[in-house]
Amino acid sequence: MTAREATKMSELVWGPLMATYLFLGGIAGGAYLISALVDLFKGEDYEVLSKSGALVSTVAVIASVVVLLAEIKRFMVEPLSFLNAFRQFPGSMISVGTWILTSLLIISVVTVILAFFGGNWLIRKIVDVVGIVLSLGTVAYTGLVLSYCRGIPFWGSPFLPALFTVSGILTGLTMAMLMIPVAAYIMPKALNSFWELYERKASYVGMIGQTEKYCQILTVVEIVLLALYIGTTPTTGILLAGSSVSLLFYAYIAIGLLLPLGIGYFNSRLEHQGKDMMIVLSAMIGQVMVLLGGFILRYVVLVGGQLIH
Amino acid sequence: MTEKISRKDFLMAAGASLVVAPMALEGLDRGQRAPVQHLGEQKAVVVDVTRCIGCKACQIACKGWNKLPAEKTEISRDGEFTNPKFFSPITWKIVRFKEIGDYDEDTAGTGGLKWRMLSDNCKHCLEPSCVSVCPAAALWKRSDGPVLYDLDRCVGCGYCTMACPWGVPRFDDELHAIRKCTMCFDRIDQGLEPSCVSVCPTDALQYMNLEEARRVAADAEANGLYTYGVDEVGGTSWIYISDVPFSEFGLPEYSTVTQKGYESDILMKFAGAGLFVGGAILAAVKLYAERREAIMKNDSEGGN
Repeated sequence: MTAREATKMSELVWGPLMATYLFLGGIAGGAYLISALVDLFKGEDYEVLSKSGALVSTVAVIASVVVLLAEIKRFMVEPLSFLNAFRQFPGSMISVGTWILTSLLIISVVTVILAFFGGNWLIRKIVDVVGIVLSLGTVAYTGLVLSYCRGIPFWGSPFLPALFTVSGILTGLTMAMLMIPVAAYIMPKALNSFWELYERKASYVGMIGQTEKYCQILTVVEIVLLALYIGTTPTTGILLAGSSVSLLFYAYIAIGLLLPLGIGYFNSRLEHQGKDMMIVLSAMIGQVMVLLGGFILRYVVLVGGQLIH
Repeated sequence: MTEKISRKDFLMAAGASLVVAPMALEGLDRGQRAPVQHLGEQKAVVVDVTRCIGCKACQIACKGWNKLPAEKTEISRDGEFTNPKFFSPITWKIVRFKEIGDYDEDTAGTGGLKWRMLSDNCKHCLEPSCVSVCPAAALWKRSDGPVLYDLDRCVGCGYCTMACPWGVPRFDDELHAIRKCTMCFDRIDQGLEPSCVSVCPTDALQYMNLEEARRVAADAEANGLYTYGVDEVGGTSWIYISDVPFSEFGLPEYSTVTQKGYESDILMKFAGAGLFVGGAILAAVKLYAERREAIMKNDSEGGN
């Protein structure tokens, strides 16, 4: 029995708030990635998605920092201690993450400002490209930060950061889709674009259908990576049976992976039947499930790693 | 229309920045700390399990020298006498008790059951994982052995507790920071041995130069004994000798790869997997786009 085997739920160093931090980090990176890609490669019909992505990214980064501070609590003893987290760049993965998240926040805010006030085409494209690099770094960071922990073999797999990267992109895209009405309300320019889009219902439903296809591709890749992660990391076998987190793990597979795939399939069958409202509603249900699944995945991996050895 | 800033607002903002800026700068002006502090030749402690009688004098001495309070403990029901069973912010040294084998009445007193004890604490790695992952340079390595930490720098992230191969740094819920064995650096600085070594009645703990410790370990290996800490994670300052495998004490097997090597390995494999997965996603997206275009083309031709 090793020292950490005695860890109980009440003694977790990294608990649900840390899982939320990783979840929000993934959403922030994923949402910005989608926002920039859409801005670079899609037409004006997708403008709302791009702006929603930037807004989601901004809010998610800020929320993730708040959640992280609430988790580590050291600021209650040393108020400015968090500034020390910038020190060991690029030596420590947490330092790398701190710099990347800060940079992503700046880029996201700039993107939102450009969305509000308009801006030079070239500047927008440069911001997009820089943001793509940062957002990929962010989603990768949320997994790498765990897999560098040598004391926890459960996390010591290169497939874990790959899994978190794909899951981060998926949850980011999903949250950006879900928040389109909110983004449209906050940003008047996007609002016009949204109403135009909404009036042309076929285009709006078409966008939902198309993003669902991308979500399905990402979900299938996530399933493959999950299988590789479990198959190649010795202690992850316990996830399948015999541990307190098994149930949550199965919930993640059902809620975060299989049901959204089913809903996507269901929606694709409805596409040409004129049941637009049904498509919009079921897509939203699927999106909420993907987000719930994304959080459960991080919770299961984070807590499971500390409890199982 | 632009709004003018009132004089009162300006003075308030200026006043606030005068208060906050020096605090922020004070937090950062300590700069980066070198991961190794050069203070002479690397020392080591050899822990010989075959000599240990389980008196726990080392455990008590650790508490005494470091002024660590006692903690509530309980008798274990799983046949072990390790107490406390695990490291904590106020227990930096534990003696692991292990019954090995089964009691056999026919060979009572001569065979079957063995009692072994292992005095355990921070291994003070030569290339420590905790130092490597700390974002705040709050942990550092002294060239003469100790791995130390500075609470003024600690951000309380707990990363070192996860990165340590042996789960040694323990999180203190009051300080919101970590605490662990310091190898009694304050005694070493005065030319003394670590407190646990100084009280061992059987010389199961011996303080010496690392080179000498490695020679002792090599001799032990040549005599058919097991050693631990010579190569694990790049070597440690605490080298263990035992006549039973260290897995009996729950010490995991580790390769010689250091934390940096471990990180590089993960990163390279992740990059490889990322290229493969990224390529697969792009191919799938392209396939989907082509299919969609073909369907739309068919639809429009059908419509015409």
